[in-house]
Amino acid sequence: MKKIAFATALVALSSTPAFAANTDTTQGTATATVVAPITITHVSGKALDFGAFTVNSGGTVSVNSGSGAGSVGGSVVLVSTSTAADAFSVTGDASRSFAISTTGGSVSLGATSMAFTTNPSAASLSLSAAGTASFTVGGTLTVLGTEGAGTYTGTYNATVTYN
Amino acid sequence: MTAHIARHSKLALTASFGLLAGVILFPGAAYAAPGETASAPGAAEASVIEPLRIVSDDDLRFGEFTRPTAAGTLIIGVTGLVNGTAGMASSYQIAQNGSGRGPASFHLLGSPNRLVTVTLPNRFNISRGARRMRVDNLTINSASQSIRLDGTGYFQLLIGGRLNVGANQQLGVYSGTFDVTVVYQ
Repeated sequence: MKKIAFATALVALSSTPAFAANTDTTQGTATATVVAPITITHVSGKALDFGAFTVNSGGTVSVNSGSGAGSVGGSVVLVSTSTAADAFSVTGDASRSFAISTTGGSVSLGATSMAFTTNPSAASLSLSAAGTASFTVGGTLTVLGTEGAGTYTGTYNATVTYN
Repeated sequence: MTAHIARHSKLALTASFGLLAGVILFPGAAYAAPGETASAPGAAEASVIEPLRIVSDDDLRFGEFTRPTAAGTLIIGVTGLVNGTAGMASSYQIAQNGSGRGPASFHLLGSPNRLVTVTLPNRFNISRGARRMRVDNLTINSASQSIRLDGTGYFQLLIGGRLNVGANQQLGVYSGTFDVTVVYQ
């Protein structure tokens, strides 16, 4: 008697067959979030302005970081309405917090310089929901009393860093 | 078998007629005389083992980082070690406000103390729209692709990897999937 053999072709499935319990596969997920870098821009036309003053025998001139109001120490006499704080604008990732630091500097006229220290209106801020923020900078100028009359100019650095 | 029975019957008939050939018959034996065969019990066994399962518990999270100005990589190790190279050297060192940062975590369930082979892809992409970043150099918490389930049939599998970030990579959340396969050895 002729016997008929039936051959069954097994289809290879990408998913685990119900009977192949010696193996299993699952999916993992990987994620990453790229956020906007922080930027800082000096507001055009603004400056840390120690104002106009007479040096006498020296002292200090201070500018309030928030209000820009001026005050003096020692024998310096200040024309009080002439001081101003500097201003910066910041952009970056919405609602992210950052730290602010500022360096000191000096203002010069020819070979004569006066050193100053700075302090920002905040050590730390958070960007708004629109990803913006701003702060102002005050400081203290040291006057020796030997400086000649004239306009002294200089620079310093402000740095912002995501926390 | 048929021939043996015929001979037995023939011998029985011969005995009843008094013509014995010297063969001793045992009424209980089928058709084989003692000394010609022997038997002993053999041993057989089968082990039914727990089916092997793998379940995802946590994602491979590269976390938040600022868009670099030059290309670089961010590496997440299975121990939680994080390192940024080239353009990514400082980009990743910012506060993590989302789901944090760490290796992927899975748990394996199967037969106690049994060896399992883990298979991962060499690379895969995570994407945001048409923009992609490649993940490669996947690592696991094992010296080789072979792992041993513990005495309860359990193993926690951790998977780290290296994210390749392009200069000025587009902002936003990227996501992608990869297959992990386990097989009893």
